[in-house]
Amino acid sequence: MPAESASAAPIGEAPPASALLAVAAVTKLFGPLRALDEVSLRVDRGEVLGLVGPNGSGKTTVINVISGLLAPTSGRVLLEGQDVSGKAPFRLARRGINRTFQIPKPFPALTARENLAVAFHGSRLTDAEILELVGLGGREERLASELTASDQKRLDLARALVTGPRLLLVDELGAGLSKTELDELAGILRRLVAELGMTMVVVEHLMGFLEQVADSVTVLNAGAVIFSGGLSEALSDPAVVKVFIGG
Amino acid sequence: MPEGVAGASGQRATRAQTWRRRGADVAAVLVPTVLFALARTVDSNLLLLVTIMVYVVLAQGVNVIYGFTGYLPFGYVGFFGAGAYGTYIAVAHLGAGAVEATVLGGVCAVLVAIVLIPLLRLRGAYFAIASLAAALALSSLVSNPSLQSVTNGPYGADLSQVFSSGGSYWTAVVIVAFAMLVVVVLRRSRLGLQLRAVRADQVSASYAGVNVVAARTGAWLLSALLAGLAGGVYAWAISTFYPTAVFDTTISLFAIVFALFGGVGTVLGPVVGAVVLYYVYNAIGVNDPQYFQLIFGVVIVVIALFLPGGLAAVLLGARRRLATRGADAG
Repeated sequence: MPAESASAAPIGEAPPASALLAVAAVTKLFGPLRALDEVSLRVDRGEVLGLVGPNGSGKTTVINVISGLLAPTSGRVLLEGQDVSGKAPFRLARRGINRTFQIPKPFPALTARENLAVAFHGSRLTDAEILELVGLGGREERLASELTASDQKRLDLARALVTGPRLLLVDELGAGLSKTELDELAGILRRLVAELGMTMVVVEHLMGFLEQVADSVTVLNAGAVIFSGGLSEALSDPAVVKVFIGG
Repeated sequence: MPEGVAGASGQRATRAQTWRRRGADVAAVLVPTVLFALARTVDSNLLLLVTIMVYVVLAQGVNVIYGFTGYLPFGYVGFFGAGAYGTYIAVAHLGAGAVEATVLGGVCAVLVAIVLIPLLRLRGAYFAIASLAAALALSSLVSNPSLQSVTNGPYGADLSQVFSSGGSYWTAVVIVAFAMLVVVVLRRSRLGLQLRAVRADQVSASYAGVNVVAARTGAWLLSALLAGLAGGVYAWAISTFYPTAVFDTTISLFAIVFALFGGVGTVLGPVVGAVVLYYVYNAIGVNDPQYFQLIFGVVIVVIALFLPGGLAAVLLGARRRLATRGADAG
């Protein structure tokens, strides 16, 4: 996937036919706070876009707006050219957008199998196949509350996969995990792209993790996009270096 | 072990589990129904038996709305009163038979629940207080003298022309069976699973593709239907009543405490809670209400402090411990 594909979308114009997701000049205000300031980005089919930035830069807010948890104050979110801004999460889940959470939110009193049975079934894979895919095979009847933090993240991912997302938003999957667990999860994400043709936006602080999964990155700072391009170019971009290292 | 053999034994185990579950479901519906049907042979006080069945149905209604969604309806009596007055209006003004009128009482409660759907936007104490206010408003509306031509206002409703102690008793048995069926089906259904998910985390449930508003509304209407049917058959059984009798907030409180005492989220917990506590109430509450209020208060405190899952949680916990001990010993 060419690094240039994640570029700022022309504001107000229809996205190119290849774009699965286009975020067009989205601003989100929380009272006087401008959490997102005219953020635009585009993700092509089968592409994995890394979303990086310091704490408070607006990464999770972007995910929340795309996934319908928050309505944008202005601007639009387009899925295959259709405006889906502010639609309820359950409608977006049924239209092919789903997400995971930085702190996983499985249903604690339900088993892993029941956690998946709750969900709208849009995937061509069975629940058992999805649990196997994320590495939870054999733990179907465990209560979610009895799973380890790493397994709860896998369950969160599995529940999103059951709905058959074309666009998967992954919010800091790697936080708090060991190197081995990170590598396993990166492998799972790569399989989702290679075998299911999934498109992803991955919010992550860990550059090593992004190197394994992302085709390109968009860097946010104080709610605004300051860079879009390849990961290695981002690491040598003066504006990005200034934000992360200072000076 | 060859794969085929393992697969066959696994399938047999799954099939056995499925049959065991179905058997438990059928028993959960049939056992209380049959016991109530036979109860008249040991206790000839049919009004007492109908009242207990009414509380069983109300406790199951609370189970549906609180056990599955987390909404605690202090104004639940509003649906009960709507059911009672819906039955009265159907008999007095539409000339309906008592059974049809009881069903219409249930429908009337559902209509009230539809009007009150916006209350579901509230949570916690706000919802509890708003539902109580709605029930009081409905009570005031029904007892308004200017509605005398419809509800007979504050002067009470008279259903003596259709009075039948046996008819109301058997109808109550059928309504108990229906309430048990509703809870069993809900517990096993995808809607029940979705409601439990919504109760745990509505954001996660929404991302799982669950229409949170629709799921909650479904539970709300179902619980209103149960209360309306209970109100209808109670009105039929007592024959004459005033608005204060069927909109008494104590009815809400009893139903909630009975359900919590037995264990919400379970099938049989509210039945056990209603039968045990109502018999206690009947034994001492009628003649010495102050003692019952004391016991009732203690029960509420004990539930809140030590038994948040009710009697059912205690029994299920003991069973789990025994199973674990058995597995360890094995």
